[in-house]
Amino acid sequence: MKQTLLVAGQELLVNLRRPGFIIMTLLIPALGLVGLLVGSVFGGEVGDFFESQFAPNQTGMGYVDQSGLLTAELPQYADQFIPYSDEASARADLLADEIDSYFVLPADYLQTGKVTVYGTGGGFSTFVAADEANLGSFLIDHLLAGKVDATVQARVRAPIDVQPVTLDEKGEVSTDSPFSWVGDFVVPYVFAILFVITLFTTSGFLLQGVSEEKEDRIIEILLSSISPTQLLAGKILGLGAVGLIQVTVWLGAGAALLAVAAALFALTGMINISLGTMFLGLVYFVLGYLLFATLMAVAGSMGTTQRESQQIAGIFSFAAAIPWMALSVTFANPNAPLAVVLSYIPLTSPVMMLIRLGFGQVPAGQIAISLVLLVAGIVVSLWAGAKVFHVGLLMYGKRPDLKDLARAFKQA
Amino acid sequence: MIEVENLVKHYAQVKAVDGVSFTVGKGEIFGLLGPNGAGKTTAIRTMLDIIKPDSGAIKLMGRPVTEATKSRIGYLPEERGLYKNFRLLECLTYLGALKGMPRRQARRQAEALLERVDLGEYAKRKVKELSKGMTQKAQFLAAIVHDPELLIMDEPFQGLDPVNTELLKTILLEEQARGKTAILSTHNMDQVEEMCDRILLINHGRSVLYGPLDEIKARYAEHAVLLECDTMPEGLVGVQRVEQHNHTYPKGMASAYELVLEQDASPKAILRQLVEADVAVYRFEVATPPLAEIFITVVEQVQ
Repeated sequence: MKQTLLVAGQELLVNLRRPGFIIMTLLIPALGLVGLLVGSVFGGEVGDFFESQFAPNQTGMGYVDQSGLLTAELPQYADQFIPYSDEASARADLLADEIDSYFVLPADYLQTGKVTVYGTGGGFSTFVAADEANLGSFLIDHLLAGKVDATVQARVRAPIDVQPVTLDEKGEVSTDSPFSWVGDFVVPYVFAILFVITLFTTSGFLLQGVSEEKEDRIIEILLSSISPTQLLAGKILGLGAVGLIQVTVWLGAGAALLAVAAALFALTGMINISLGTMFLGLVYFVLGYLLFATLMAVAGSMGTTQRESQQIAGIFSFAAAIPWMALSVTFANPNAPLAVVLSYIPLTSPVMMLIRLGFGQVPAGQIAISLVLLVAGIVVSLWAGAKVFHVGLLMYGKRPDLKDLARAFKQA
Repeated sequence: MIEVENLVKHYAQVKAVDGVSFTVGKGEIFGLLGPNGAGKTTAIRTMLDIIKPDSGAIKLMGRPVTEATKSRIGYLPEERGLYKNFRLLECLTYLGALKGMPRRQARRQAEALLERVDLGEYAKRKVKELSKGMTQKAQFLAAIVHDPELLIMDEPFQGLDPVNTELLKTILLEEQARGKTAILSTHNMDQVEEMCDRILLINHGRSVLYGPLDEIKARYAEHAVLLECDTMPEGLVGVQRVEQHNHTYPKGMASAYELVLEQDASPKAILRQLVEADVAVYRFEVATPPLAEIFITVVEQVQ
């Protein structure tokens, strides 16, 4: 145990001095600070700037009414919608860039609701130009004008304006600000990403450390002093501490930045992560770290050079990247079957669960199953990893092949 | 100090060590010899519990090897290596501490040893900045920094100039004088003859020569004496033939001879005759072949 802690202490010392670690640890809060400064100096102007960059430069939309249902054009729409008596002239103007697009209201519009939108430049720009909400308002106003009361018409145009009220456990109205979605969603999500970054920087350092020791040919001296298990345990503990330090720095900096942001923009109740979620996040971080640290150490022991080790480790990194690839599915539905399956497989579950916890509620049963499977995966990987680690460490010239590994399992 | 009994270790089809037994007593310098690939490194690694033997028993200091015994052993492996990115002193301190020595004590010890081998001014340098010879010396120190009772050294003087070789030899002999035991594995037979009390020669994983060095040499001794004198007297009784080795001295001065004796003659009787003949004798020695010759003979016999 004493020796294990000694190795851990040494690893902590060595890795805290790594330029990569220092830069990474300071860079993230620095980026946050820069973001905050830019936000406070330019305020809303930044938002406008980005909006103007991404919104298409609209010149207007033509339309051809073949159904005869629409009233004469209302003045408030005059600069957005241009009536055409026939499709040919509308098409000519579109091709001459006089208008962005035009739509045709067919004779059977009332029965089918179908509206054909013509545009240039491909599907997406046609869709943007169509701007359904705006088009909807235009149609509602031109279909109902004069037939119903103006207030009813306005209500039809905008039938709902949700006023959210959150009740706390006592039934009192909660005082959360309308910005609480930042705390409920964005902040945990950002923390999930940071957790994953730390998880991979630290286990990456572990990989690097082991292959450096192999390249430095120091393994034999180490193993004449301590057992491979002590070495492995010490490394995992030491780099785990490195990871926790990084996470602590980031969480501390994050909390401070959020507090400043809250004061600057007069927002309250923004930091709204439940302690339970935070704790679960930490549990998945620690377990995920244990799993990947073990696998990275094993990969490090197997390669004869750092490059070779990294190739082996690539297999595990790829597994960890799968949840990111599935992000679009998870984004739409955090409880989609794919997301659930990825939450159960030990190689993907730490990252998947960190992402899902960021998105919000995960059913308790799924958390339980995923934790049990993850812990089982860690136990197996530690057991097998210690053996492969031992065999791999002493192989200099060649990478252990399956035969070598099989023998290692038989012997131990 | 060390008892190894019937040690067997196979790798796939190769028998690296095949039933080797030996003991090493306290305070001895023991030579572990053998051609390349004979199984020396495997034997050493099993002794250090780096790899497990297939069968056989190893006792160090009366007990099977545990983590506690490991801290009393200093090991200089054939594959040299130190933390290249560490500072020299830091590296030695860490390796000493890993052997269970308190960090502060390990540091003091490392500082003293670095001074001893003239590396004091390099203590704060990174290991990768050192020359090859310096690294070799540092490696030697890494094996003794925690003041171990048993030293296992694989080619400890490799790549060192004569001055540094003498320096490290002296340190090793001093350790022996302090009651330390050492196992020396080397291909340099002169060093073995100079330092070792007993040896074990293994070939193809088997023990082929084992015992006190002088006994082994006596066993392989031809029945002959080496003689250096001014004039070689005629008609010595018991001498079968005389071979002159004239290369030793310039002509007209002393000459060197090898006297091959008859079966029942003794070297003592020859010496008596020389004294009676009033010959100026510069050197009189029972001829034993150099260890290197024995080594070659034995290894070739087995093959």
